[in-house]
Amino acid sequence: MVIIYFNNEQKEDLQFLQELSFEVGSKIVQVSIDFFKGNYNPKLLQNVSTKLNLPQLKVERCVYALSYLFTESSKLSLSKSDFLESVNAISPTKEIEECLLESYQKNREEMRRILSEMSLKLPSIDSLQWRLDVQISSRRTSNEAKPVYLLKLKTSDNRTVWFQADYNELESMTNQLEIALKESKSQHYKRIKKYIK
Amino acid sequence: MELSKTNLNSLSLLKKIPKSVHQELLSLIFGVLLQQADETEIEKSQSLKQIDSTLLKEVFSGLITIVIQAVKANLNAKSLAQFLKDTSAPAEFAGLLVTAYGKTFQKIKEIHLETTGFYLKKLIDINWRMDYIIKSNKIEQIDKPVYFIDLNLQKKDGQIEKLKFSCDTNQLQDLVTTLKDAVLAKKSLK
Repeated sequence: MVIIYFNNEQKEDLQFLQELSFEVGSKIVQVSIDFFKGNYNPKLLQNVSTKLNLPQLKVERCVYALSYLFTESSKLSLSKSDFLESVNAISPTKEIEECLLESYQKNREEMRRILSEMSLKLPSIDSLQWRLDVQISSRRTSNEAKPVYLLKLKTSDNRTVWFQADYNELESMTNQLEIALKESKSQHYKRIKKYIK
Repeated sequence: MELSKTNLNSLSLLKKIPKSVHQELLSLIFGVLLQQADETEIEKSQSLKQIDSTLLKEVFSGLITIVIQAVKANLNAKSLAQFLKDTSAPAEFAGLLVTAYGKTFQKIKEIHLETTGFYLKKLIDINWRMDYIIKSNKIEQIDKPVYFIDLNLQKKDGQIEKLKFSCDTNQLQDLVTTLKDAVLAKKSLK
């Protein structure tokens, strides 16, 4: 069982939710979800706090604490019971608890996707295009008939690399990558996967 | 074969060079073409030094051009012999030239013409590695395999550039399918 721990400050910030009506509380929860997704707008916070007649600083800190709650729960992929257990630390009302759980469950996948985008990774391959030419002549040689592959590789960091390859190299590259692909179906991999789980 | 008048003229100039020197001249020419010797050999040779330098220069450059043009046009020894018959080249010299040419023209082709052609970076090697991602500091329970692919590309001057990228299983599958299509395309050519 995995539970999130809040420090005292965060507990205080979250207690703030208790003092609010359900409507207001759920509005703030929504703001924190948007905040997490990247739609952070300080003006919005200001508007919300004036509209709801609440001190802005308290609203802001509550939003931060809620974001922490959602980030950690998505990161750890908390189950329903673990999530509720964690939220219990601030002894919320039934309604607030339900609201939090609902927001969490609805948005969990998207939040995990955003987190994995932010994670460490090498640029990945976008596309590989190829063209088969036959080199006939150049300024210095003529009467040739050499097949040559032109390749264009695009990676996710917007780099485009052009290169050429002859048939043998391309064939050997294909064979190597096929072997690599087979590895994901090998016994060794399956054993490791099971062991780590 | 595209040869200028001056080049062809160098063949007739051969008559001015003593026959005894012909073989040495030929060795020098082919030595230079095969990158085993350079023009400083002229200084070292007693007989070559004695020839008037303008004459030597003209004959030397003319002959080198003829040989390179012949390699470019993919002439074999027989065709070269045929060509030389129609020029003013002294018969004995032509014979020596054709023999030397026959032995070396493939090598000359490799050394000069294929390395001075222009091309894009060339794929010479591929390395791959498969990892299993467990977790990161941002997200846990990832549990997915990832492939790291490393391509070695060689530039014209011999420098090697490494191209690294990652992909997941689906992307690798797509990549392998694309490459297989490319390989099949060539098979249908022959």
